Amino acid sequence: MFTRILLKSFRGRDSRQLVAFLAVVIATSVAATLLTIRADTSAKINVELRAYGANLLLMPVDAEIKPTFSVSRIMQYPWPVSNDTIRGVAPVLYGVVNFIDHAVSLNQNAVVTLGTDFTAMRRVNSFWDIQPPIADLQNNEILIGQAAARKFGLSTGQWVKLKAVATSDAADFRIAGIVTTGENEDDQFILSLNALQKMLALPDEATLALISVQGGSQITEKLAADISRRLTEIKAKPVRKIAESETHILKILTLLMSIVTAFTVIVATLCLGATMTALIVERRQEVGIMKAIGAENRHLTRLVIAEMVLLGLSGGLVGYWFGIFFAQIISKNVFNSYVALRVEILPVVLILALGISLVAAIFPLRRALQIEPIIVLRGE
Amino acid sequence: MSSVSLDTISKKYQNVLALNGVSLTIAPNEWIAVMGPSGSGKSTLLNIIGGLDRPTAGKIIVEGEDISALSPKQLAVFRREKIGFVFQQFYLVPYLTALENVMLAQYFHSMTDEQEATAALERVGLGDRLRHLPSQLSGGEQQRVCVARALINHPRLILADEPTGNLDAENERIVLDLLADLHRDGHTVIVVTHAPHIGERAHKIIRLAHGHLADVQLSAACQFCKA
Repeated sequence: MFTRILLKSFRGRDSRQLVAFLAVVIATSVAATLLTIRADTSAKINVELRAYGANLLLMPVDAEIKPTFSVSRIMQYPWPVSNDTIRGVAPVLYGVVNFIDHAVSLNQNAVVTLGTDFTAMRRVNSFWDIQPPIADLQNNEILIGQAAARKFGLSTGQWVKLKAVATSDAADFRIAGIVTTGENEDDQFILSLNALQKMLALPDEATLALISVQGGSQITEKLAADISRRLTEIKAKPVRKIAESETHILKILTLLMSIVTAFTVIVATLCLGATMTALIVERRQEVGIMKAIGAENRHLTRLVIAEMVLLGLSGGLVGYWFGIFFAQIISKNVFNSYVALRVEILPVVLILALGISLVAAIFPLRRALQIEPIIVLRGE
Repeated sequence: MSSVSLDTISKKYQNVLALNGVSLTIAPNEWIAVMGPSGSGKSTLLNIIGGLDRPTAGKIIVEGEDISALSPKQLAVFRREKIGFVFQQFYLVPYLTALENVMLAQYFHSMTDEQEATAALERVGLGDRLRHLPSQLSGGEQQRVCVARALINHPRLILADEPTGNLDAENERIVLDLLADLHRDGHTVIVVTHAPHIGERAHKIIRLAHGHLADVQLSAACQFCKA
């Protein structure tokens, strides 16, 4: 009988019930949106920031004694994290080579040249702008920094001759593209790692390794400690500026989301409480009849609470799906990707909806319990 | 033992004295009509006997229980155990069917029994109206649902406040016959009415005037009384 009363009472309501339902839906959809985005943001911000370069640098322990280290040592290192965590490992070898400028009667210019694994470097520094875009850098190809290209009047497709200062070995390279990074690379020449190692007679050697680690500053710090411990000739140094900005952005975002959610929940609770109180005032005759024929406060409490719980759970369920929908729209616009459907957020949203309903139930319940049957039956 | 015993009952609403020192005894299985002009305190008296209202002064004992001393919770228990109400305005829950309205009283009393509720509605001639909402029933039918709801928990007292005030002659006859049936079954029936012909069907007519007990007389036309 209780279920019959509850369902019929719940179903037979007017627009006020709809307003109350919408209050729960709005609050829970905001919460579900923010929770879903928050759950994905950490990973997404991490990915976004990873595009801006390495957050872990490897370098020789004492560059004055030995300015390079073995690349194979790095490649053989047993990474204690999943493959997804390491976005890219780009060994870098720096050297000075002479660029023989045919245009100015074989004038030789010393140019800082960078040798790297091009594919890995693109994963670490995906913000590099290369014109025309290329998929790979062959051993006989070269990229010219945009400032250097302007200085020497070089363009794509030309051939240049480079001569190592130390070994005097020379080789010809075809310009595969002009690179713009906004940093030192704009003044440099970029070769494949093998080509530069060969020119400088430093096989398997690198000056630096740039690593892009996903998953936040804690993982980066742990990884750095592990590398330094296992590879004693190498110093691993987290780039804290990026790691800290990640943490900072996440903290601000979480705070902002918490404030918005809390504000929405408070407003929804008050709205729900006021609407349901108005509904009880409207239903005072019904409550009066029930009391007249013997309903105790416990009967009415059960009925009001059950109705509020039903309202909360149904509103929470609808709000969850709306939240997922809004989260997809926001994520698509901000991060250009969709968020994963997070089922673990559903119980959190339902508990929140239940909390809103139960707190809001205090107001109509108090009103219902105050109703005197005699006053109602007298028509006052 | 009397069914109802009122000892100098008074009820004051702000500055208005609705009942003023009313003392009265009603025996078990009596049929009482409470009559008097508007504002004489008829409904107030009925509400106090039914535990819906409390006297400002005096003592009232219903079925051996001093209800003037009961807490609101105890009064709710008293109402559902001992009293069956029939109101002029019917007061049915609008979204529940006739059957569910009767079962609602069972639910608050103890537990529901659909068969018994159906039997109660069949007794008042509504066996074919079980699944109808109050809005789908005529005034007479709604009042009969009220009678079924009033009798479902087998209360000792049936209190009816102007039960036929909103009904046509035919439905008035049906409802009064139902009250007579209940009376024959052993219930004590107290009916508030303006209409002398309804009062005539009672054992006793109690007349109130300005909150005072003006007169108690045996009904001359009462068929029971003659019997």
